Amino acid sequence: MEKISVAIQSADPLTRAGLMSSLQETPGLTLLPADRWTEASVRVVATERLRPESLAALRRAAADSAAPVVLIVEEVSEADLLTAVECRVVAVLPRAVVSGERLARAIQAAATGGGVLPPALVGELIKHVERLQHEVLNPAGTGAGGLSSREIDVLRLMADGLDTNEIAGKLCYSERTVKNVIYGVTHRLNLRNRSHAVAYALRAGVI
Amino acid sequence: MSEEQPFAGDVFLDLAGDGRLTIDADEADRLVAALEGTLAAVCERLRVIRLWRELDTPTLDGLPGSAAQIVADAVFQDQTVPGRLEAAADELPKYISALRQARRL
Repeated sequence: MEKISVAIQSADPLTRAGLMSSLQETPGLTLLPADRWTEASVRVVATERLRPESLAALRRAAADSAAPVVLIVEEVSEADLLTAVECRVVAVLPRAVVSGERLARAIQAAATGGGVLPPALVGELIKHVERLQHEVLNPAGTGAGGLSSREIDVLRLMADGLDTNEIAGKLCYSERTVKNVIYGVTHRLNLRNRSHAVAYALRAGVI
Repeated sequence: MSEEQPFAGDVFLDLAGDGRLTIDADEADRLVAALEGTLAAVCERLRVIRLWRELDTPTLDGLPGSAAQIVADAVFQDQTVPGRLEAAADELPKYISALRQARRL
């Protein structure tokens, strides 16, 4: 079976070295040096956050080649996710939980997927469509119980029994962000605690 | 407060056109039906806003309760997020077209 050629890009050389090392022993993969980035059949981009320069780099990469991209990131906003998907990202791995094995599986899936978006990312696009419709018809807190789409996502997962760390992993946020979202909801709406916030969202009919 | 979601109708059209976005038929049909309903609601609000602007002396007096609420909501929305409904009227058909292309039997 032909080996999958992989190139890794990261602004942080230590991160790049770590990722290279974690994939070194993975059978079926050929790791390319940085100067052969455009030859890779799968590209891996690792960054803390999708800053403008990271997004610009993704756009340049997408213009160079149709190779799918596996993105490793700490957290990603909906707007940035849409840009990333447009730039051929086919997998988004939370930086905090990525392992060599998980990365290898994502690379293999990307190589065999033909650039088609996997169910997880299609699911995110569907959520975008649903949130967009809700927000268009209920803007500026006139509906949705005065909750933002981000707050609704967090509260929905809390109602499913996930803890802060699990919610962060699920939404590709940092734990700090999830805590800030919860604090914002309880403080703004004068709610007593997390349970009260979940009950509020249930009564408002948004989860 | 609700955050404004970015519109990405062109992204969806590109993904569907390239064959990168595929969705099960039932799911696509569900989403398209919902989007068509939202688009109809958006167009209705835009119509209400246009009529409101054409009034010499805009007033809710004399309108039945439910109609007054509809007008008040539409006008309030236009004031708090100007241009959003117009943008939605442009973008939602793109999503609908993309999802129809992406529909997988």
